[in-house]
Amino acid sequence: MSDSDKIIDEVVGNDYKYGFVTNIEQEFAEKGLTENTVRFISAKKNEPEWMLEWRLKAFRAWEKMEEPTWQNVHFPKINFQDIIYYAAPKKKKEIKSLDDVDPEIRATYDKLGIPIQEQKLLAGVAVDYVMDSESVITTFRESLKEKGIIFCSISEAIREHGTLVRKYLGSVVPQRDNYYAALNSAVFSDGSFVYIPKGVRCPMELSTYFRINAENTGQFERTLIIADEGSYVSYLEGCTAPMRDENQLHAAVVELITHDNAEIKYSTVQNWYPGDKEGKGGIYNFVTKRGMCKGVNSKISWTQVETGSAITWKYPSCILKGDNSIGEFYSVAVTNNYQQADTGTKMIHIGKNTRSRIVSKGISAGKSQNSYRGLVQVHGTADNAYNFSQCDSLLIGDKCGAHTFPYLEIKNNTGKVEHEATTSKIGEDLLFYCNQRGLTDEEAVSMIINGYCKEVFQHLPMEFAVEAQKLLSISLEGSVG
Amino acid sequence: MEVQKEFELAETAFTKESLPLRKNALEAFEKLGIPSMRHEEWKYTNIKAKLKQQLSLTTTDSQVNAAVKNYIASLPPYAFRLTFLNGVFHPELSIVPDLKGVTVCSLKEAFAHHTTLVEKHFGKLVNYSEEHFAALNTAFVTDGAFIHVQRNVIVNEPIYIQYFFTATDANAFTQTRNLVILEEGASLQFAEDFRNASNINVQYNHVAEVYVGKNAKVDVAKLQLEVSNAIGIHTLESSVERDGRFSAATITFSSPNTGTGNALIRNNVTARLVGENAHADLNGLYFGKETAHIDNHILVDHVAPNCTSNQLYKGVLNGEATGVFNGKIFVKPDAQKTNAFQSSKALLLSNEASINSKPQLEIFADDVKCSHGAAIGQLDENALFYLMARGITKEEATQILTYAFAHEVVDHVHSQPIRQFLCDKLKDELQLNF
Repeated sequence: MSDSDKIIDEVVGNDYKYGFVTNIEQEFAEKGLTENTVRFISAKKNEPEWMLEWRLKAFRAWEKMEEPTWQNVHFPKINFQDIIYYAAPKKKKEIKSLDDVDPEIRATYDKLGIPIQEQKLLAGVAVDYVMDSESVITTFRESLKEKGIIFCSISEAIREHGTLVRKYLGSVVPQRDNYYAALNSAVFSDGSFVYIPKGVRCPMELSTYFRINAENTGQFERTLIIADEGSYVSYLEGCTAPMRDENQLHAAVVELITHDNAEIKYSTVQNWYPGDKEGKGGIYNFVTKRGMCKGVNSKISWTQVETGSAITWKYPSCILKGDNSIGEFYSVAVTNNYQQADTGTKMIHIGKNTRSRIVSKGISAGKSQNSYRGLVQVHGTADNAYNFSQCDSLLIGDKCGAHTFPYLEIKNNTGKVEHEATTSKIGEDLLFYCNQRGLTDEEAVSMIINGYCKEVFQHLPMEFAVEAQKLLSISLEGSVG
Repeated sequence: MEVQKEFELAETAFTKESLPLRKNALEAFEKLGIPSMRHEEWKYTNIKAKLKQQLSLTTTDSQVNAAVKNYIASLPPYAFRLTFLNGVFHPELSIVPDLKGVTVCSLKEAFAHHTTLVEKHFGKLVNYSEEHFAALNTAFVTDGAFIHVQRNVIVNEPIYIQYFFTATDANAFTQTRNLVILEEGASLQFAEDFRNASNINVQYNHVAEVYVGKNAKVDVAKLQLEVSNAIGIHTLESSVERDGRFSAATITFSSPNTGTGNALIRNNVTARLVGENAHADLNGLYFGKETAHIDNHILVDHVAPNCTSNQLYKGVLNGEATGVFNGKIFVKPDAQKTNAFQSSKALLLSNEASINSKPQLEIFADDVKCSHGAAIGQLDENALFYLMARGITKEEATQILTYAFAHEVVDHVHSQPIRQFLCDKLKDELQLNF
């Protein structure tokens, strides 16, 4: 191993630091998935009749569907009867404030570095914390309530804001949209719900932390965000899971809806357990995320930093239905060891003068495979649509792979679509330039990688950008060379 | 298609000895069938719906009609040409080169007289166990051209291989095939020229296999200039050895100005760089009009290290024409120091025209430079305005700018006579006279 190999090794080889398990009392559903499981979950959550029907409809559709096989990731067939579909921390009493939360969960919080107290002081972020299936606590609700903003767990929203949920749930990702979305629609246990009323600019970042804790469970959360006319919200999502030898399934659905002149900014830092160096264990992250720019001049912006998961397979998408609406997708996907990622976006231009921008940066190291897959579709109605896509891949080491599968489907001659992609390794000339200026190889590599990702990181809220940069160096540790 | 029955009847280019190959190909085709749109490689081309149910694979009708005679008379006096009518070789219409170190004949003849050479190469580049139409072709090929160029022999004049369709049987599905072998240091230019000289719809399925030996050089021009009322499936497979160079230009004009433009053309072009320092240039230009459907699938497979490749594809779509572009670059784990570039551009000149583009990179080596760019749009309004401000009508300005856009590809054709011919064709197509 040459010197530079060692350095790459150091930079890409850090261990996963969120791999602990929290010992709290939990209750589980029985293993396996039948109609009764769906009924059990629905009953557990005290859901109204319509919700149960909605879930059953999804379950019946799911039973008839087949698992997709077109993706460029490979894994043994999942046994859907070997998963626990519901696991929740046992609630002892009604939680009124942070102090009432189980100390073990509080400890988990602290280990994850979720700076709740600190954030409170800085008047920063309102946090919804979901462990396994159940939302544990949502902070800052009162101050948000004053503005008319609803930020709560989705099960609470189903009970308290039934009409709103019923109107929008499944309107962007229908129950039978795809195999994993149907599964999620049948068994989703919790997630976040956000409603921003007309003309309100959400005064703080809203944030959800997802945590898989229990063994053999799958996590199926559902997020629904509605931005009414002229409103704005920035939403953050973070996730971690303990280290285990077997693979665990995470199949979430996220739906965003923006009305006229509204904007949603959705940022994800995904750091599920990626499996060990031999590729054992890790989370299967099969997620459906889609936003609908329903109104004119509305905007949806996705930013994602994908460093974790054994397999990441997701395409945060925008349906640009309203005239002049804008869709954005900024992504950094890092794979190391035996990780696999097949991620990208879909931009569906339907309204006139719609614009979209895709910036995707892939970094593959070790023996990993990293794919960008994206679709830009310009319908006949989308006059003057404009899309620009850029997907770059960086290869670190000679055992990894980088792949690009862009689909461009253009049915309107007034549109303009541009796509660029490059694949290369860190150039020796770049390294040399840095060395010459007194930087060690290690510093140079991390500087180049950070520069490479900057275009994406700058779209993250400040706290997240710092975290993302740290994550990047951790997940690449031990692979630069 | 009753493939089993036709298989017994078929008069193919094969000798008895190669029967197992045919049988294997037939079995493969029976398993594969005609692909539907669910097949990723045929996602945007509904060939299943377009091809008729009752096609005949065993037509032998090959009348020379007036259209063909007139047409041949109108062509520039080619030095060398091989002429096929409905897949049948016509020596009386051909000028077969008689050069030292060069063997040119029909595939049928090659099977009979150059058996070892043919058997060593035939069917080795196409993957008939996975490719639907390659399988069909391998089982039913009637005839085609065979070219073998010996070591260090340079053929200066291009060889034109012309395929005319004069069928009176609207159900004929012609299966033709070329086999081109270049030994070390040899050099060759050739063109495959497809024309529908009948006034009915024709269907054909053509396969070419090209072996480029060490330090050898091949320029291929695939000309599909008058293919209205045709459903044509083209496959061009090449393997390039150390220091070899392979360049292919695929030029498709869906309709001459008089045609109805009802064409479906599919091109599968593959360059496999199997020796170090090999190079491939794959270029394409397509004009689609009316309801034409033009589908280009390109694959550059970098197997060996230190190879380079370039792809440039441009399309102009008018009327209700649809275009498909799928360009793949594969870089295998051993192919370090690869440089591979791809650019695909399409002009949409009418609101009903559409394009589906899928440039694709799959890279398994790290020390590489690969990029692709795809752009879809219309003519630059500033450029149009500039010309119009100088008294040029909008129509003419559009033609001039389209010519400039398309000419870049023609410029990449290496063979001078073919390049000149294409340049004139392009002007005809755009009704420009300068």
